[in-house]
Amino acid sequence: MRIDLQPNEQIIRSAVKHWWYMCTKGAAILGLFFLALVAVELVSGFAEGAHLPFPSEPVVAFALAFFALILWMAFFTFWTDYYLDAYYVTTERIIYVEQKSFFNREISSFRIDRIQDIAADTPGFIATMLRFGDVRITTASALQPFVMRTVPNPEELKNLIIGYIPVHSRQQNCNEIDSTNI
Amino acid sequence: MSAPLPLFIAPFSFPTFLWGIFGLTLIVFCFYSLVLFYHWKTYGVGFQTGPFVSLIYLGVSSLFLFTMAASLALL
Repeated sequence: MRIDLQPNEQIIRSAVKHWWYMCTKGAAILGLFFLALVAVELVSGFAEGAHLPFPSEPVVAFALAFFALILWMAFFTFWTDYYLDAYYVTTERIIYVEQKSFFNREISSFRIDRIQDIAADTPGFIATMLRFGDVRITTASALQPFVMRTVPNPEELKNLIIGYIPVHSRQQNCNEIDSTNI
Repeated sequence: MSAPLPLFIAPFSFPTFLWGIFGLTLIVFCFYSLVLFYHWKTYGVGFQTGPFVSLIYLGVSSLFLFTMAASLALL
């Protein structure tokens, strides 16, 4: 993947969403397929018991294979979305590449010295156990905080970004906070 | 001009209708795969969007397509 960097700018960390995100999608798709299998078994059993007509085996196999193919394609749509969405922390900026859908790709970035507040959020039991969560970044220019969702090790990422905020920018932001408190 | 769907498909036998669905599926699948591989090639991130995963995708997909075609052949 090609990202245009400024002179002397280096990528220090790249992150995709945590694998748990992909697992939930995969499990949902697998669950749908098993649900279809169970439904076919139940309906065929009921039709046999009630002496009702039921499609022949080749037709059922055709329908199941068709359904499985659709699910398989859906899985790879999620897969592509998962791997082509990425966060890059550079020495100067934070860059977010979002593949919203096929042919709809958005690359946004903001400078690290514009950061006013940064927080790591680990919501829930699974997130705590598997160590993933959100990193919320408030900048001077944006109204809404920028959220890096479902990233691995959010606390570590937060500390890494804080380490790259220039010292003069940190002092300036602290002074702004102090003056507003007065 | 705008005949209701059951009337439209009435001249076709059931297997012919299913072969039609299979053909449409094949066209959609090919188009989707081209779009998918275009994105993988253009914005790929390495192994996860590389040749090995592409082969798995195509291999399993062809298994499903083969099952569909074989089921129709048995009708």
